[in-house]
Amino acid sequence: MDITKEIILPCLFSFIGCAAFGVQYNIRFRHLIAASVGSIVSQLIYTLLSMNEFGEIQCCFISAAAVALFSEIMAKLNKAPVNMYLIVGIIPLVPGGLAYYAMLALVTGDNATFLERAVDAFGIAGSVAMGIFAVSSAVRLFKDFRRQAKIKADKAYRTLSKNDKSVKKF
Amino acid sequence: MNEIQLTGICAEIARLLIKYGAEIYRVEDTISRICRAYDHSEAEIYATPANFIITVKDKNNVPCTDSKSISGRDTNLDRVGKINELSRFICSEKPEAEIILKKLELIKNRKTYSPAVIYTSYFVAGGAFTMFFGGTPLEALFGGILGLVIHFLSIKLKKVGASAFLNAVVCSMAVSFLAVAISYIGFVPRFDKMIIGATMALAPGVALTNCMRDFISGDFISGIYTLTEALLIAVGLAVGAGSAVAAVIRF
Repeated sequence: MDITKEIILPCLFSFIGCAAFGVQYNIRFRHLIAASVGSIVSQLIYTLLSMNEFGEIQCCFISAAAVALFSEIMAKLNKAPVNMYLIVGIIPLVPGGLAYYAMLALVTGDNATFLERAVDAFGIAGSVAMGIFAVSSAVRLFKDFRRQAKIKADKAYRTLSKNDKSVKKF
Repeated sequence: MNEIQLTGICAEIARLLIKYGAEIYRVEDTISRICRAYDHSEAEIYATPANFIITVKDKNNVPCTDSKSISGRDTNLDRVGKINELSRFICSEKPEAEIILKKLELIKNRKTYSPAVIYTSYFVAGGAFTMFFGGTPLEALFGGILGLVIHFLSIKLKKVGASAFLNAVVCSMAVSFLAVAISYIGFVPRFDKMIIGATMALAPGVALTNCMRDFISGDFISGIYTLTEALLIAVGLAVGAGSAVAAVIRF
């Protein structure tokens, strides 16, 4: 197996292509590098999983979830919108090639191939969306729980300090 | 700051956020935080990708409302980030209206990348994705040139006010014709990789991501709106490329 051809080159091309997309969306340099690293994350995980004989749908789901997690972490670190990293990071997973070949089969009248490829393309697009959905809603839930806990602690602190003057701000 | 100024500023911030490609959850969250900072936690906010309405009540319980209708996207995630910073600043400092308006003006006039850089990025993206989908370096060169064609056409179409669907159809049709012509003349043996690589620039990535994030936060109207947009653009790409290839494939 040729590691350069199978792993390094696709990662490199997705990095360059996604950085170019980031420029089109007007992302500044510091965020641009981080966002493009997200595309490497998705491409690398996708390649490694598909080598280990995971199905196409599973690969896309897991790598989309990984990119979503990466974007949430980068957004937290850089205090920037999650979208900035997420939009660029999932670009390598977009089933552009499959959709094109499905369309080609349709216009040449090969309906069986068209159906097969269209179902594949829709499945991949859906699994990417579901990967983002899973991670983002988990993060949202975590944030909501933390906010609730903070409000509760705040209330407890206030009632405590009202009754007991010796309690200092901690 | 009085209620009229508050609603005016909130409506302007929301309009900019939606125009620059933020998801609706972010818009509603930002505006409700700003309203809470100025002691208007009762504010009613209604936002979709096409319009925005805010109503707050003054101390005599008289409602004060402002609305915006938004048309035309101009994705600029850098400015979304800056408006995010501005809203953090508003919530912590509670500044006067003039200061906020001045800062908004600064954000609106923030430098974007120059046209030369944008054209280069379309060239690089077209080339890199042609290689990514398995093309040769020569095909990548032509894929990059087709990327330039896409950017040129979409600027022209935006000037006459074409919709995103029409933009996708026209651009992908032109690119497919050119790619088939290039391979027909004999520069490269096949045209499919060039078409795929160049049309990746039109793939509805922003719409798809925003629609998922809208669905998560429970904004189903906005989610369906953006999902329809994403599907229509994808169908438009297929229609454009398909009709061009089908017209030529007979010969």
